[in-house]
Parts: sequence; structure tokens; C-alpha cells
Amino acid sequence: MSTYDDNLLAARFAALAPEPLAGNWDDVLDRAGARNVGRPLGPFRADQGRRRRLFVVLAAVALVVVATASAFAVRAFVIDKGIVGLPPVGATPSTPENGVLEMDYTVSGRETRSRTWVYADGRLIRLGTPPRRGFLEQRLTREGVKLLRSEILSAGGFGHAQPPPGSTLLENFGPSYPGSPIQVRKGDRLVPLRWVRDLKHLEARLANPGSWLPASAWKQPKIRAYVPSRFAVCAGVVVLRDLDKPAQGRFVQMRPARIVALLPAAAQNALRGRDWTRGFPPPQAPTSSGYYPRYPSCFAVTTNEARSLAKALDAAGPATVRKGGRLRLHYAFDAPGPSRQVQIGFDPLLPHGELALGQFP
Amino acid sequence: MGRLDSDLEDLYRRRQGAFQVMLASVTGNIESARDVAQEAFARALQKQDGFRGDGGLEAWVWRIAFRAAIGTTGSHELALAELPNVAFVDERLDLTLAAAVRELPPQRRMVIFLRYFADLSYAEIGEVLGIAEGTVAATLSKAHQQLGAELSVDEVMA
Repeated sequence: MSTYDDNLLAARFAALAPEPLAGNWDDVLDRAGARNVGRPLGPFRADQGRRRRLFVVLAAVALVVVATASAFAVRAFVIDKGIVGLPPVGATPSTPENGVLEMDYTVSGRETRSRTWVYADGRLIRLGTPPRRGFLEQRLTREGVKLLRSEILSAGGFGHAQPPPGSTLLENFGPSYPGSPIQVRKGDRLVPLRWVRDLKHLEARLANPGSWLPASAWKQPKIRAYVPSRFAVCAGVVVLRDLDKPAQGRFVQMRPARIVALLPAAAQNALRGRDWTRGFPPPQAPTSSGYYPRYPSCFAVTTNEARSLAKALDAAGPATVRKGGRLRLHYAFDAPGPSRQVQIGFDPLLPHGELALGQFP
Repeated sequence: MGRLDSDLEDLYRRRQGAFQVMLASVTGNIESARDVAQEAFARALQKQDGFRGDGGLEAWVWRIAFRAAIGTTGSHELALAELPNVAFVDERLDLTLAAAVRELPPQRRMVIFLRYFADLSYAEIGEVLGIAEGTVAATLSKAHQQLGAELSVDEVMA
């Protein structure tokens, strides 16, 4: 077990830190003075610019499970444990395989966080933090999708016009990385919601649509495990600066054929002839330690194919295999050359083709 | 208003950003964190007679800030158990670290945040939390070990 390097950790936290808002000492003095005369404290002044960030989900994650298990078992497994890796044999992938994304929103509170994707076919797929951790699925009717869409459309405004006083400007990562945690389809593209009149109200509605959508809005109100029908298998070569500090490696730009050639023979056989591509939608933000792409070589497989491939890699030779971790099934094979590893990860693909864990293209 | 006015103002001008960032881990967003930071310094100005000078001024303000964040008052020592289960980090920027941090026990997580978000020394963290500097070091060491185990793969993999 390695001890994480203090400086590296500091750098990663620095990248995670939200951008502080402008200070105002006069406001502090006002507040202190107001208390002395018994006047209640008000909110800080709006002229400082209110900026709200919705913080995003993508917690830990789990792929999910079990079509053949009992409903109770599925529920217990998903909610209480979460899972990572590949769904077990017998788990039935969600259908249809592809879907048109109608809405994509992230809701963050002190207790829970979730990211939700809503499709034209009614699927509502949510990736949440505990206690409802992992990928979950419900199904809306056509009316339900319309109602949810209307809720977002009527909550605020789009475009880059200055938001009205008192409204909340939605920014994911600050001015440097414009974006919104709430997107909704308008015509042939997803449009970010830029400002909201009552953010808490909207967040509450989106976090728990079951509390206000009518029964007719649900085709399947019961929460079930979402089982991806496809996975992206991604590979890269890493050079480790220090074998005792495997966290401090860097990726080497290398064509997929060369990456595969560094693997044990059995693994080469399993990966040879694949349709390696960079065609997956890119993630929406830079990482803490660099910019995408840093893990560029991936191909898509069905869930059954992913299981077969994982089985082949299991038998391919000594590798550090991370199963049952938080994020994804992951292999690290020692490669020829000083301190080099070939790393292979399995990442679930959502119905619209996005890598659900969003950490590499 | 009092003898510490200029010191508090200086502290505010140097460190209010760090207060906001750290407090966001408690309140859940930067906007409310700013509000709490403003409130904390206002309370410090009002209650500066309560600063006995047996510790650092900044640690004293941090304790006020945490009490403001969790909605408590009083002069008793701030117990770790009182602190909320802080877990805020911007996951989209570093999913792996966010997930690893959430797995830390609350005390370790709080110490980690004070170290890396608030940029406090071991001694200052000890003052804020009312624990010995050695305990801070031991807690950080355990947190590093745990994070190392969680991050060792994903730093390059994720």
C-alpha cells in the first residue's frame, strides 16, 4: 500500500477547490454593526454577484446488476453496496441499446448528489451517491418526459443574456469552463440552462420527480438497477516514475496496435483486431492533472462481450486487477521497458454513447 | 470596535478565500460558504474580547466559522463529532479523488480538508479542532495511506 504523496495530493485538491467569491470587508463591518444594534443579519449583498455552482455527480460508481435475482436482492445490492465492474451473468441490459438524450441534469445537496439522464424513450437513468449509489433506472411515459422538460424550461432562461436580479447563474466550473449542470434538448441539440429563478425549488423537483409528477407520468416508477448494454474498453501505456508510487505515472501517446503488442500473448489475442476509436463524446471538464485526451484508445463492446473479454484478460497472465473497487473494472499489466504498464479499463456507455464515468474520451 | 480590528481585517484580506473554499465543504456550495465566512468574521469582530490569545487568531476564527457553518454557538471546544459529514468536492473535476475522499471517515476527511483546502499547518489544525499536533499528524498519515490505496491506480488510469 502506498502513501499518497503530499505535494501531489495538495495539487489535486487545489484543482478541486471552488473559486472563492469576492470578499467585502465593509459587509463584515455592516454585519457586526448590525448585530450591535439588534438588527437581524441579511444575506450578503447581491451586488457582489451571486454565483451558484451546482456540483456534479459522478461519485463512486457501480455498474449494476441482476436481472435474475429477486427484486429484494436487487434493491439491497444496489442501494446498500453499489458495485463496480461488470454486471453479473444473467443481468439483462437496458433496452433499447440506443437512446436520444432529452435532458441531463445534476443535482447536488448536502446529503445526496445525483446526475440524471432522461431519454426520449422515457428512460430516466440516475447515477447517485449513497444511499442510492450507482446506476438506477426508472421509466417515464411520453407525458412524463414532457412534464419534466417543461419544468426545466419554465424554471429560468437560456442564452448568455444577463440574468435578472435575484436569479441564479448556473455555472459548472466558473467562467473558465462555461457550462451548466442542467441541459435540455431544443431541436437537434442540448441547450444549457443558464439561470434559474428559484434554484432550490428546481433542485428539489429534479431530485425527486416522484414527489410531484402524476402517476400517469410513470411507466415504471419502481427504481431498478440500470444495466448498461455496452461498455467502452480503453487502454493506455503508463510510465511510472517510481514503482512504489504508482499514482505518479504519465500516459505515453501510443497507437493501439503498439499498446496491444506490449501485453501478454493471450491478452493480445483478446484485443487484436478491435475497432479502436476516439469517437466517444469527450468529457465536459479538464481533469485535475491535465487535459483530455490522456487515455485515447477505446473500443465498444456489448456487455456479454465485455464479460468474455474480462475472462480472457483474467487468464492472460499476471496483472493487477481491480475488481469491486469504486469506478470500473481495471487491469494493469507490466510491460517491457522501464517502469511501464499497460492499463485497461471497462467503462459503461450510456444509451446516447457517452462514457458514463466521463473520465476519459 | 476593539483591539483586534486591524488584525482581523488583515486576516480577512489574506485568507477569506481559503475560508470560503473550506467552508464550502461544509455548506455544500461556495455561495453559502461566503455567507458563513462573512458571518464568522463579523462574529469575531463582535466577540473579540473572547479571544484569550493563548492560540492563534486564525484558529480562533476558524472555530467561530465552523460553529457558524453548523449553526451552533457557545464557547465550548468544537468537537469533531459536531462537525457535519463534509463531503463536498467538485466531482466532475476529479472523480477519482472525490470518490476516495468520500470514503474517508469524517475525522480524517475534515483534517484532510483543513490541510489542503484551508492550507493550515498541523499545529493550526490541532488548534482548530482542539486536538494535539501529534494526533493531527497521525490522522493525516492514516488518511494519506487510505487515499494512496484508493488513488494509486486511478491517478493514471482514471
